[in-house]
Amino acid sequence: MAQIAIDGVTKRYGATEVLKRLDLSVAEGEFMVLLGPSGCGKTTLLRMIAGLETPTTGRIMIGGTDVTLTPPAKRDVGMVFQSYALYPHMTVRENIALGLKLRGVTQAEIASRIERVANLVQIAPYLERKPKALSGGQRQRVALARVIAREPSVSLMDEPLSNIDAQLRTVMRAELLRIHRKTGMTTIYVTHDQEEAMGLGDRITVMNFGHVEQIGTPDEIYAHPGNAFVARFIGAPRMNLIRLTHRPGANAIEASGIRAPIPAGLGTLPADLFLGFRGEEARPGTAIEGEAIIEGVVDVVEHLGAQIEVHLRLDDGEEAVFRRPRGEALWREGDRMALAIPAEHLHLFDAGSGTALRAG
Amino acid sequence: MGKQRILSLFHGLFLAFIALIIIFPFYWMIASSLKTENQIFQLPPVWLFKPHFASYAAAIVNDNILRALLNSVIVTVGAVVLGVAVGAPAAYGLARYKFRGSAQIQFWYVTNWMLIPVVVLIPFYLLAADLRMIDNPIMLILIYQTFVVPLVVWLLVDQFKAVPIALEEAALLDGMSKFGIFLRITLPLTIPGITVAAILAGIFAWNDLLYAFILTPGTDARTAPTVMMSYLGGYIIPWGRVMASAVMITGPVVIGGIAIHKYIARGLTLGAVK
Amino acid sequence: MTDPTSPEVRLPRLRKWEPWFFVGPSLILLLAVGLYPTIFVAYFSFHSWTMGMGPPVFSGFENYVETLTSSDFIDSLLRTFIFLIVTLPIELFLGLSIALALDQTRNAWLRRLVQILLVVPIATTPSVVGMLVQLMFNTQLGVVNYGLHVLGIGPVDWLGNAHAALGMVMMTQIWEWTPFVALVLSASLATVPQDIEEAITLETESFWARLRYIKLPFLRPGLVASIVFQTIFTIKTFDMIYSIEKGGPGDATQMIALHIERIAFRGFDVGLASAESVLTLIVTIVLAQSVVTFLYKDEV
Repeated sequence: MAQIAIDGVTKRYGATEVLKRLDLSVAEGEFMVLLGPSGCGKTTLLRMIAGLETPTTGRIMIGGTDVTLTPPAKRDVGMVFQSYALYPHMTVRENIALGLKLRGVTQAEIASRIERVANLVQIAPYLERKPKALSGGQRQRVALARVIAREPSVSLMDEPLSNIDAQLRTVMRAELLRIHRKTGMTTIYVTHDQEEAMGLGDRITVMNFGHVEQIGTPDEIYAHPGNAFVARFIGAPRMNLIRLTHRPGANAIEASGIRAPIPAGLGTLPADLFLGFRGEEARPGTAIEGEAIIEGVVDVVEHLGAQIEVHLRLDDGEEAVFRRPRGEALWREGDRMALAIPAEHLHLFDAGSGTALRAG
Repeated sequence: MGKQRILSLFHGLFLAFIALIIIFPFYWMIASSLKTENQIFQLPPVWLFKPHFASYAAAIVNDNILRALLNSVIVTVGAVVLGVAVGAPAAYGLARYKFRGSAQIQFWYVTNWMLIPVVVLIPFYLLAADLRMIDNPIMLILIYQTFVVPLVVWLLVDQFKAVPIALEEAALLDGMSKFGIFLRITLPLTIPGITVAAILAGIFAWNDLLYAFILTPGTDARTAPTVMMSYLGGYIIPWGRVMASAVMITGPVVIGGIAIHKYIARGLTLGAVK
Repeated sequence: MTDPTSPEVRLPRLRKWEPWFFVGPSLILLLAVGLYPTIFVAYFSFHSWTMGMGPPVFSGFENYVETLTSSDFIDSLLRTFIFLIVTLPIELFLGLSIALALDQTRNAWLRRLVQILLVVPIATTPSVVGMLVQLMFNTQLGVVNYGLHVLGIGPVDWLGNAHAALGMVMMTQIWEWTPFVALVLSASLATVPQDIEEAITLETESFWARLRYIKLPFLRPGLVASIVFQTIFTIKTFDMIYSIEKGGPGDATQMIALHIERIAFRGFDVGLASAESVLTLIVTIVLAQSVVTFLYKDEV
């Protein structure tokens, strides 16, 4: 297993800069997720680590060696493609064996690795089938098996679950975690699904428009988003961000129907603010000392099974969303109500730059 | 990385060499058509010279090349129009319907095209002789169908399959007849594909020598390639005129081929990969 | 589920006939233009008939016997086989090389140029090619011999020497048809999915390994198609050879198509020519079929 270092890497196609200056390091055995919307550069970065693309500037190091100009075959990197890239004319067994055969692994060793991997990933019954006779989930497992059998220093995954239907996806996610625990391979995983990222990653790198927004553990990113983008991207339903103007010198953050205490140690607040809170951390009812209060009119009520999602229309026209367990209360459209938010779950962001305002 | 560079160079040289081999005979043909009779056979070869159009004038005056070209146009256009008129609906039928006999029919088309021309030629010639239709372009137009129709059908089946069936179903719900749908919905969408098939078929029809020089041997009725044969008759071959005629004969088909070059490979393999 | 008392839905008559309405005209045309001649030829192959010398007389298998024992026919057939056996592998090898080179080349301009040029020999009028060959391969004054002379090789009698003539005809055939093979194989190579091409770069740098495991399966249909088409084209070849030397010198380049044409339209022996045509047609079909079967034997 090897650690990875991305050092001052950028990527430009002609005049367009697809990846702005990036520095990233992944520890040995770590499961690092690259998360972001389409076009943010996460796949480009992954492909550069694989060697399928070359950075315009910067270095890529695997296991301490500079591999920026090394061809992919020599980097000892395995990749699960989004489309699986299974060789259509070969059986599953041959698919897995090919990479090993090309590297000179002995027949006996190939056979034993295939057996091990087939059991690990549960594809033993399909070894003699061709890819076109397999379902999406099965193909994905074969693609995974192909990488694991090769025992590479680094394994890369490009949105491997995106072509699988929702039910199966959650099952496969657990499988991936289980397998990672068993193999301990340094893994870089690309996805646009924040729930997947939160579930799988040891650490997550959130990317947007070619640069890194934040790197941290799922918990860090959830509880302490570094900017408005990360705050909105992580968590479902999305964090509520309410835009307000702050009067300098005022002793609280106020607007019609909103009152929040100013957290200590923040210095002078900018005039243009986002007040952020997650629906699951808000409590309907009156606020106690130190809590923020948000008032609004119930606009839309969605019954989602075990939970009810309520959309609140605030006085200034903005919307806040929260969910409560079913049966807790009766939500009627047109009712006016209030939400209380504890101080520690309040987030403030500079509306101009998006950066989170933090103490210290 | 050095190895990569050398390989790239090698590929490039190889392809350049191929390009040269293809271009050179054409260069020679065009150059010879513009040289004087003496220059044509000069050794070492004359590379730079002032173009003379005398050969072209001579070909037009002596060999009736313009008439032959016109005949070729008539026959080619006639054959292609008939072939497409008959082949396009057939391709549509094969593309949209699964019916008993569709595989056999496709096999029959392919077999037609496999027939050695001479086989077909003998009875055609006798028939034409009986009906006093030797030198009549209609006989050529008909006999060309043996390869035009299979080619058109082969290329167009995939074109029609590529038209989203949802469009046709929508028209069906609007009350259009099946043939109406074919004519007004599907056909307009496949005009590019039909054009490619027509040009390709046209190329083969234009280039034909065997059928043409048997069925339309007369000086007035003969098609362009036949003019080539007429030069072999005499003791001395007038190379200048031959090359000038050659340029005029191959010009249209080479231009036609270049126009559709992107689609030829695609069309050929799509059918072939079956 | 289905109510046993309600009748099965019957499509109106028109529906079942629909496909035939579309396919019909072409079928009729080809039956007239293709089937009629074939039957005609089959019929007259059993008759003794030389045009202008009396009516056809039934003669059973006489024509066939004459054909099979005539050294002319056998020679032409053999010559055609040799022609095929030599040109086909060369066309395949060169065509594949060109397709691979095109695939690997990064120079977009060169690639475009070659792709355009590849169409040219296919589109060129074969009889023109033949005349051009006569001009360029002229023994004393042709540019080819001049080029050889510059390289120090003595003049080759392309048009007079039987072997050289055969070689010249083969080279011309290869020139004319290799681009076709190259185009078909190039299109086959284009069907290789990009992700698989990338996946294999992670496993090996070797060009040959990539060719063998990744590209070859996709090239296969194209190769088969090329072989079948080339076999048929080669047996049909007439225009180009005829316009070089009408099958000469002597018999040297007389392929089967030229031989039959000579019997039919110089000798006017319709009966014999018919028999020869039938035999050749059978050979062509058998050959094409066996190629397909042989090459697809391990696939359903």
